[in-house]
Order: sequence, then C-alpha cells, then structure tokens
Amino acid sequence: MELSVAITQLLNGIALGMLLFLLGAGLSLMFGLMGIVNLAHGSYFMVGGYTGLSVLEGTGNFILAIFAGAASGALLGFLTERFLMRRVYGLRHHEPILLTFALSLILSDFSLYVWTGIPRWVQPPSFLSSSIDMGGIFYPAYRFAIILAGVLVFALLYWFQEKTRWGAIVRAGVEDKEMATGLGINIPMVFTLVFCLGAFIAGFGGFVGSPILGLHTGLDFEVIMLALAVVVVGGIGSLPGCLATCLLLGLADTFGKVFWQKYASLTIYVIVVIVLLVKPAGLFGKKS
Amino acid sequence: MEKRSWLRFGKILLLFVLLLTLSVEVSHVLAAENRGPIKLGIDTELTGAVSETSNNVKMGYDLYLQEIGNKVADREIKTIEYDNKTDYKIAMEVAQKLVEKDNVHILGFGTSSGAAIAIRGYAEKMKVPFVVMGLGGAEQVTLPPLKYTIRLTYADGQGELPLGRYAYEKLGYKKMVLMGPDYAGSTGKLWAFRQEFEKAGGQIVQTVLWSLGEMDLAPYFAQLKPDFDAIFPFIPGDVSVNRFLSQYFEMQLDKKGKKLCTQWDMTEDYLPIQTFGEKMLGIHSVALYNLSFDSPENKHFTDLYYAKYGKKKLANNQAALGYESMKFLCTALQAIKGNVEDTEAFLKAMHETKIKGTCSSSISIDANGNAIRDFFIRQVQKKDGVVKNVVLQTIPQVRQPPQGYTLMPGKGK
Repeated sequence: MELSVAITQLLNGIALGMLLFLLGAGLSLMFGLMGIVNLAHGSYFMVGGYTGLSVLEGTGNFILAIFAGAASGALLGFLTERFLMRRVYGLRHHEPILLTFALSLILSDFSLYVWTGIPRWVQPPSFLSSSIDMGGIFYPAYRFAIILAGVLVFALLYWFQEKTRWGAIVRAGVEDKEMATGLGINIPMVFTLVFCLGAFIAGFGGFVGSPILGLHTGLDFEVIMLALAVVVVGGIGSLPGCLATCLLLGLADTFGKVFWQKYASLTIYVIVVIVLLVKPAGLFGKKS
Repeated sequence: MEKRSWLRFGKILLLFVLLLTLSVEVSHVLAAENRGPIKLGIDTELTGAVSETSNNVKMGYDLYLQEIGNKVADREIKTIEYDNKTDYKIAMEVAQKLVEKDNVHILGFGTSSGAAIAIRGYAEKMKVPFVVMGLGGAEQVTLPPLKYTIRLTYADGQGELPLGRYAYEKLGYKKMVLMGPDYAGSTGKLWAFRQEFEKAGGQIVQTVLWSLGEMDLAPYFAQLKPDFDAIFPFIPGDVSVNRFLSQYFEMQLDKKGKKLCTQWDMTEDYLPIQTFGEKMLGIHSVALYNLSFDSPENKHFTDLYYAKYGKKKLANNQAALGYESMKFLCTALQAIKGNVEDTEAFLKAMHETKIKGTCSSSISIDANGNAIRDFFIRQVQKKDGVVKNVVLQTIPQVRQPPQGYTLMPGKGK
C-alpha cells in the first residue's frame, strides 16, 4: 500500500472511531452507572439526526441544528429515565432491556410518521464540503471535523468526570451506589443527569454523523449494534478506555475493508467474540 | 296470407334471436358471478431491506387496479397480499400459503430475485403461473426458461449492455472502474456492463466489491487507483444509494473528474436528485422509465399517481413498473375473458400480449418469459430551472442477454 493511501485509511479509521465514540460514549456512561443496557440509545442517535435536519431546513443554521439534535436526544433521555426507567430499577436485568427495546420500536414508528420513510441526507456546511490538502494527500474536511468533534467531546467529558464535583458524584455512583446514597448524594438525580448527558451526546452524534451515514428509518437498529460492541469490547468505567476501544474498532473495521474485503463486515463482531472469550469484562473494564 | 305468415314467422324469429342473445348475456353475467373473483396472490417485501422498492411497486399496481375498478372481463380481481419481510424462507412459505391455502389462480411476486429463483421451481411443480411484477434482476429467474414463470420487468444485463457500449462510444470513457456490493444481484449487472464495455473497446481497470449493508464506504473509495475516467456502480436500495453518493461527493471524486455512469436507481428524480440537487448534474444512467418522458401514457400514469398519492413523493421507475406489470397482466386476462382457470390459455395470452408502456413503445414477452422493452440512456441536466433526468437516446426493444452472460466468474451462482 502506498504511503498516501495508508495515511488516508488511517484517517478514515480514526474518523469512524470518533463517530463510534459519539455513539457509544453515552451508552457506556449509562451502562457504567446504572448497569442497564439501553436499547433505545440508537433511537436517540436517529431522532437527534432527524431533529437537527428539520432545524437545519427551517433555519439554515448548522450550529443551531447540532444543538437541536443534541437537545432532542437529551429530552428523550430525560423522559425515558424520569417516566420509564425509574419503574424498573432494581428489577431483574431483562425488564429494562425489554422496556428500552419497546421504546426503540415506538421511536422508530414515531420517526417514520414524522419524517416519513424516505432516506435523507444532510449537506455539510460549505466550508467543510471541500478537501484539505496535506502535502498532496487530499482528505475530506468534514471527516476532520468529526475527528475534532470527537476529541472535543472526549475532553469535555473527561473534564466533567475528573475535575468537577458532579463528575466526582457520578464516579462515586459508578463505584458504589449505596455508599454514595449514604453520604447524602441524590442518586436518582444523578441517574437522570447521566441519562440526559448520554442521550445528549447520542443526539449530537446523530446529526454530526448524518452527512456520512445519512438518515433513514432503521438507522437506530443499525447503530445500536455498534454501540453495544463498543460497550462490550471496552468494558465499563473508563472514558479513555471507551475512546481507545472506539479507535481500535474504527481502525480494525477500516483496515479490514482494505485487507479482507469479503469478510470486512464481520471484523468488529469477531473482535467482540474474542474479547468476550478472553476478557469478558472488556479491554478496559474493571472486574465486577 | 302467405306473406303475412312469413312476416309473423320473421317476428317470432327476431324475438327468438333477441331472447337467445339476452339469455346468453345473462348466462355470461351469471357465469361470471358464479366463477367468483380472479384470485391474484402477491408475495412481496412490504418490510425489510428492499421494502422501499416493493412498496413503490405496490403503489403502481394498486393504481392500475383502482383505474379498472378492480375488475377485468366483468370479473372481480381479488388480490391477496402477504409480506415476506425480504426473507427467502418466509417468501417460500408465503408462496405455499397463497397456492395451497388461498388457492390463488396467479402467484404474483415482488422484488427479490433470490426468492424468485427459489419459488419458480415450486410454481412449476404446482402448475401455477408465477409472475414477477416488481423489480427484475438475476438471469436465473427466467433462464433456463420454465413454462409457468414470467417476468414482466427486466433481467440483469438488459440495461447494462446498451450502457456499456454507450459509455465507450458516446461518452468516450476508455478506462472504467466497477463498484458494488458483493452479491449476485450486483455482480451480475457489473459483469454484464464489463463485457459490453470491453467488447466496444474499453478497459475495466479495477473492480471494488464490499459486503452488502456497509455503512462507511470511504475505505473503498480510498482504494481506487488514480488512472480511470468513470465509475459504473451498482448500489441497491435507497439508503445505500444515498450513502454511496454522499461519500462519492465527500471524497470529491466528481471534482476530480471521475464521472458516474450508472443504473437508474442512483439518479432517480424522486430521491437522489431531491437529496443532492445540482451535485447530480452530468451523471449518466440507463433506465426503463423517465419522469419527464413526453408520452400520453406517461402523462396518464403521472396524473393518476399524483391524484391518488399526492406530490410528496414523485412518480418513479418502480411505481411505473408496478403499474405496467398489472396493466399487462389484466390485458392478458381480458384477452381470455377473465377465464383464468384455463391456465394454458392464460399463459398463451401472456405470451401474445403486447401493451404500450408508460415510456416504452411496447412491452411484450420473449419465448423464455422475460420482458422485451425499450431502455433509455439519460443524463441529469438542469432544464427550465429544474434538475431532472433527460433522455439522450432510446434503445428500442431490448431483450434479455443469453444464459450465462451475467455470471461473473466465481460469483453469481
């Protein structure tokens, strides 16, 4: 492989990894704190994308559309946690799974009703529609923007988790819910906050990713599998671990497409199976 | 006296003839009522991977049934439609249910070639006419021919052959690249294009295949070698078309002068042009239908379509195929006065029927049971302020290529 092609593929892998991070970070956070698998997470991603598209069409403002997409995700997260999830905390594992699966079906039909089944696509802003010249290697500016967005979201989340009081509370919740409650921390409120934050990132990713992935009914189920792969491979409890996992999966998928095209669609899932067999807690997860 | 008696005899005879005619008519009506409805089973993909396509086709055939008041030769047409969820196994179960439980006279089918190949053997065994009404595809649906199988749409290669020659001779492309997902429905089209393009004098310098359903195609675009004029991609399904085009534009291949020369799906007026607008200008495609085609039949079809469905989704190739398929079927039924129980007569009528298409000058069936129809080479242009497909050349009465023509070595079996 020529060096220029190798660099392009490396960037493709990193961009895909960052897209996976925007998709999976929220789910990883929710799973880490509450131990529930939220199958409606892909729906936040899709609805966020669609809402952003509607705002973009209405206002022509891409930045506003990003916030609208993220906010719609956060709102859905809030409604899910406040009115549905609270009723199943403490129950066995399959109730939250069934509940969020049902919710994802409802949100899928809701999207079909509101935005119809016609596949849509979001045009990136004009200044990101060109390619960047890196000494003869031309790479799409929008994919650079996705890499940047991923880095930015990671930095903000890291700062929130590690440097703020709220972050400390969340970490305390992840470590030991009972002890945190005993210390007077309002855990239900922390749960709501984390749910909103996770869904906010998903809604953000849904819109930011739409110039690459497009928007269509069924996108929710397409991406939830990848989000689950991120959680399974990365394990829970470490944000840098989540980022590293996403980059690993993005690069593996991309180079899989270069070296074994015929089986490339399996690359990520082969890694999932290997990790489950060798290190069931995930590459960066703590043993429970 | 003698004259008067002749007159009386004449009157009686006239009355007798009138009564006889009346009784024959009444008996026809009664017989038609007694015969019950013509049962048309439709095994189609209302959900799943190709549901968008099959639902468009359905919009087309529903439109024709509405136009004729669900009746042919004074006999009601009862459609019994089941969703096969784009699953081969379910499609076979649906076919069995339609034939053995619902006792349909005709087994209609939607889009998926793979399932059609499986079902046609069953239809042959059960001696039920099997009519593919949705999208076309794999050559094996009609080759080798089976008596009870008829495809009213098209086969792989029918459009790609004329396009392959046109790409070399008229568009001047010397070196091209083939791109598409790695499955028989795609490789058949790619291979047919390749053969005719190379026969004309061109050269395919690279073939890039990927697994069906890939989300990110950037790694495949990055593998393209720099020295080529244009890409012939086959991309199935609206979602994949959007992804391919968005990533093609994102990689700036259009600005690097790497042209697209493709099948109709990728340049349809109702979706990609609505989505990508002027970015689509200049793309060539081969099609069976063109929205802006100027013919009374197309005007009639589009008027009916918009009256029933509104203008939210523009009339399209798939709906036109559904409409034409049902029109063809009903024309054949009319020719045998609705007597669908006579399967031999129905099959003969299908082979003898010829209709005008929405755009095609005529549609008929070849000896193998595959449609013969006009194809159109078109280009996306901006005319009167509207970005749309414009027909550059009509390729009249194209037939299915011979058996084996679309089988890429090592693929497509």
